[in-house]
Amino acid sequence: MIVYLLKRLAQLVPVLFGCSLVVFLSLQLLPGDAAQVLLGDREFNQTDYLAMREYLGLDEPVYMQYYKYLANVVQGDFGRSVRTHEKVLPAILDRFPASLTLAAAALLIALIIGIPIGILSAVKPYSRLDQGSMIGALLGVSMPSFWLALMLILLFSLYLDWLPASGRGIPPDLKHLVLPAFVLGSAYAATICRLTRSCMLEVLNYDFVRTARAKGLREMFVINKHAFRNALIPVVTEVGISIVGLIEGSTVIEVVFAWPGIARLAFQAAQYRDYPMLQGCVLTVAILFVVVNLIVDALYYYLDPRIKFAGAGHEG
Amino acid sequence: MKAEAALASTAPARSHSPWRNYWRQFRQNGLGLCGFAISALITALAIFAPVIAPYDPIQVNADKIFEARSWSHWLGTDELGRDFLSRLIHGARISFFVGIVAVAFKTVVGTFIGLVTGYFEGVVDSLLMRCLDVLYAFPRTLLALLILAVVGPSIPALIFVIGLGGIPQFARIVRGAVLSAKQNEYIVAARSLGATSTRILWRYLLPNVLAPILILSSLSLARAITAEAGLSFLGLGVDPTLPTWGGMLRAGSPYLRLHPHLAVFPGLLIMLAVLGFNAMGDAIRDILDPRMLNRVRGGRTT
Repeated sequence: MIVYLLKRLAQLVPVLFGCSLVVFLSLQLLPGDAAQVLLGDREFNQTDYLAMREYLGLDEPVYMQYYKYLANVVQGDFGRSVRTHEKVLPAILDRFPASLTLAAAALLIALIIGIPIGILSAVKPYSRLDQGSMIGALLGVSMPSFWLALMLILLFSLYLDWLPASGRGIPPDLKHLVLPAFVLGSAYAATICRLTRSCMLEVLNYDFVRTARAKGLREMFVINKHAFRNALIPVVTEVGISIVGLIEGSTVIEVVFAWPGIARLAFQAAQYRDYPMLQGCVLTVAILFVVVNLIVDALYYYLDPRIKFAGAGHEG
Repeated sequence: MKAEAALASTAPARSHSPWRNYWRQFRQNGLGLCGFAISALITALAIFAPVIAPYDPIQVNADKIFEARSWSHWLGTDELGRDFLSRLIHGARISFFVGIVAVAFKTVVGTFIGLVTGYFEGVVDSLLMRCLDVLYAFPRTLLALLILAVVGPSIPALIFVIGLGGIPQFARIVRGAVLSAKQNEYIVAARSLGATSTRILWRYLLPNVLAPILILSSLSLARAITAEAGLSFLGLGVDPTLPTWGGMLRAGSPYLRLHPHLAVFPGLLIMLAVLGFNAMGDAIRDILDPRMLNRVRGGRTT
């Protein structure tokens, strides 16, 4: 297990280097001088400008500039926002809890809706329930989240006035969380439902399920204990991928509901051409993505002992 | 894997044309057929928009702002007095154009990388795959935000950012398919007869990996249309005067309470288009994916 994790960690290093390189190079594509871009539109004097050039190492070759950038990033220095002049990393960390809360709530909703319906459809395939839930899932996957968000705002905030349409509440409360979490969760509920159904269908055809039934085990027990556990593996992977997907897929949701998370921060940065902030957000979420993938892999390894043997086979 | 390969290689022998077989199966798939009909309808809307649309979608009419539904304007007019129905019909064009070109872009680039890395392996393979790992590590929307903020919004930029995120997926799947397909004896035979690598790749390997490519590209069309609508909705898409469904939704959202139809209809059309392509893609996958075939057979015998 430890060797496997170390190996995966070692594989991460080039990927993280690559990510930082892409984010660094994106600024080089901009017309003009990076120092001017990073100082923004505000009035700046020659001293500021020269200090920024010195900070970025613009008089040095590009690889030295990248080295400087990387050295700063590794020390947690992502620069300062052009717009608000606050430090980038603390600003991102400040928004992190909001994004995480939204993602966790959405995931919970997705699991509560998706898994039971997926199992029920698989247990009685081609029944009315199955067909209904599959059409529902197809609708859920196809419905653009920003449109669903607008429609729910129209119904629950504007017409019925039951739930707030924007913000997180001061202090943060559950009422503000309901609509964004539901919108974000519903699309994933559809994905998880379809995945659970197809995995369960596959598992239910295996011999060990027939054996379990032949032993006279109660159907409930066969489904929950034998079949679902085996069908869980791809579902766990999907859940792992969706945690990060939820954070990044929430860009539109955070914007529509004015939810103060990282994705909205990135969006605002893009709008105001606040490049240091945008670079910081993209790099942070990319790092998060890579780390979560590693955790999912580790979990996968833990859940499915067969992978260990497969890995051993490859090595041998 | 072997069973799959065997299935794939025996399928053409059973009938003269596997495509005729596929079409027969497709016709039996109700949901897929519905999806096909919806997709065809919306494609027709996109192609014949200038003929169907009653008005010029860009023409601003200051004296016709927010007109109610009437015989002359079936869906009323928008905040600039433009005919809403005409804008909806024309909206299909840009959404489709961007979606189709973006999918073509990622399909061609992803397939090329997958073929080359799977066939040659070695240094090229590991180098290219590491590059794709980096691309894969980026959250798509945020990468799109970064690129669009740097190069500025335009149709080519939009196509590029939507296509870019899908390349690793295509490359990985094609690479996997090539790795297993090149073990086949006919590849060894072709090579021993002196066929060049280009010929082997183009003539023998590409047709073998066509099924996964087709499945993936049909499913990613729906995704590309949603992505375009999402970026346009965020104001990062094309010029806002041009009619796009995402852009119209954005323009209509401030008037949600008084004129909800301005936000309802563009969203409905996006959903319909995505639903159509998703249903069609699912049907194509069911037909072309031999693993599914095994499962259905297994299900019937038990």
